[in-house]
Amino acid sequence: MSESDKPDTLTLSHMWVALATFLLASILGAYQVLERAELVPVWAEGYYTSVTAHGVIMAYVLTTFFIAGFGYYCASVSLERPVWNRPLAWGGFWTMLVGVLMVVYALVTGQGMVLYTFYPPLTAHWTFYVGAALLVVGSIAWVVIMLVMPIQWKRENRGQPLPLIMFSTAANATLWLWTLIGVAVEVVFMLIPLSLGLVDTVDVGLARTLFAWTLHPIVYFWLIPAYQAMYMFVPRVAGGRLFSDEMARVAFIMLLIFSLPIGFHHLYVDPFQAAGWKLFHGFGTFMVAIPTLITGFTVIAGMEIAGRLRGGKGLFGWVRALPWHEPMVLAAAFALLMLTIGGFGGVVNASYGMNTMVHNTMWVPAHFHLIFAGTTIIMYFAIAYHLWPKITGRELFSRRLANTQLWLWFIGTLVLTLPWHYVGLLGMPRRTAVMLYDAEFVAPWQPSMLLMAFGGILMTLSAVLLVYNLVMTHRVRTAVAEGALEFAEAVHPPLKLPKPLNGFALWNWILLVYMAAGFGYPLAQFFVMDVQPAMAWGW
Amino acid sequence: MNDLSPEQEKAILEGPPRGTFAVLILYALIFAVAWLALYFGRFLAHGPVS
Repeated sequence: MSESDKPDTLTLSHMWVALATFLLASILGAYQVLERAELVPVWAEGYYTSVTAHGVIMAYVLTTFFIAGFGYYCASVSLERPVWNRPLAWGGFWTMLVGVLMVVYALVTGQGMVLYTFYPPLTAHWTFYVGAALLVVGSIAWVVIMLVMPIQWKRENRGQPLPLIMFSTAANATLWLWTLIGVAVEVVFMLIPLSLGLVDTVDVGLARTLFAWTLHPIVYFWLIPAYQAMYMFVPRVAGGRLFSDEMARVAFIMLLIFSLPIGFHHLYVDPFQAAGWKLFHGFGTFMVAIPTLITGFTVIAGMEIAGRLRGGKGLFGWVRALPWHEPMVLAAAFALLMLTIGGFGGVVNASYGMNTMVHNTMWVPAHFHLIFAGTTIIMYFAIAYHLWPKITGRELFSRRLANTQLWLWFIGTLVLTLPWHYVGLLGMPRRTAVMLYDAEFVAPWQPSMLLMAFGGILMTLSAVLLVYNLVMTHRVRTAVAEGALEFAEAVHPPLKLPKPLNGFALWNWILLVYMAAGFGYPLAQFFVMDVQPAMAWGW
Repeated sequence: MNDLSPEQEKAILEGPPRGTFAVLILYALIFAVAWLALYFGRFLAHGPVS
């Protein structure tokens, strides 16, 4: 690979957009917790704009740019070839960036206070929706490249198993393509015409159903790079092996299939879908626990192998033997811990009955901050610390600072979210700038609000340390001692795999049937039924 | 890194991950207790919405 073919600039450009916007979103997060704790003057417009910007950046900008940059790097290294069609990759990058700038325009001019959802009748300026559409269009360039590169490799290496990192990246690209269909249709055919004044009204039920298509699988699009690092970097860094390559492939395939037709657990209290469809999606939601458990088992087993190879004895002695000074290992342990707590909250959310107890309360952001910040983003930090020396050719500025940053993030996330679970059970609503309720009713929430503010500030401080460490790494003069990016070797490396574990043709057909079953009638009803709220299935 | 003989290394690589099973069983127990506490202690105790 020649110098100009290396994926470094492409990866760094994507990742720096992700990290710079992440820092901004973290500062906005600190403002929001201070506002809600009433430690700064209440300013509703500022709060709602901030929530929108914070959510849009964290959920769509940070993730999409980071995942694209990570994908390009891993594809290039694992397949030992330059990124296919670099002009297309750069075209995608600039398209996404222009989209982000259009969204920023809507936000800074106060015309984008729609939180970070696409739920009419809340409507933003048209630049918000066109910008979001461009972000999606740009990301499709990444999808195409991530699907073409393995096809080319397989043609040249007939019968060989695709490297696991590439297989899982292609799984994520496939998942993203399926995921964005719902919101893309909603934005292009409903929200852009509405925001431009081309139509007077939209069917809110249809819009919410389309957004539900996207709303849950997108979480797994964010999460898959974190799982990739757990499967392929953690055992390598810890000095162990991947417990099972095949189990990892099965988990990624299950994540692709099971995460898609389950979005109605976000609509449990909405009136326009019948109970039977909600139950169908509810059962599907619980199916996602299976690949999550496979991942937990395989990753912890890989860590156990590493600990035992390092001399750990007994049932738990291997835990102490792990190299905790390595940011990758520390982050993985924190991520798994927070995944278990966040997963518990998610089970309550997904339970059809119990959902009513916590619906639209602070319990919900507690759950998704544990999954997003606690499990996903903390692994993005570890990935950045792992890749930066390899990309820049310089030693990481400070490993100790990296570990301090991870500890701060871990403590901050718990201090932020555990009180949110408590006040959620007390009925405190989410996404509100002001608490215009009876003072006696609100009083028990206040101590938790102060804790929340403290946790949020710890997380913001952690974000600053992350960016500082990575910026300073560019200025370090010591050349890196480590070589190229390497992936964990499986205990039994696969020599030959059945086609379904080496590609996605079968799984796309299965998904087509599953999505048609899960969303076919629930979407069609908006076009075939005259009267709302007639129910075709349910009571 | 400890100096392990090839036999010891093979035994670790091929052996069952007992510690992992223990961690997951412990987690499942804590999870089940927490869920039951929330279901019976909070959800059912709350009664119907009035």
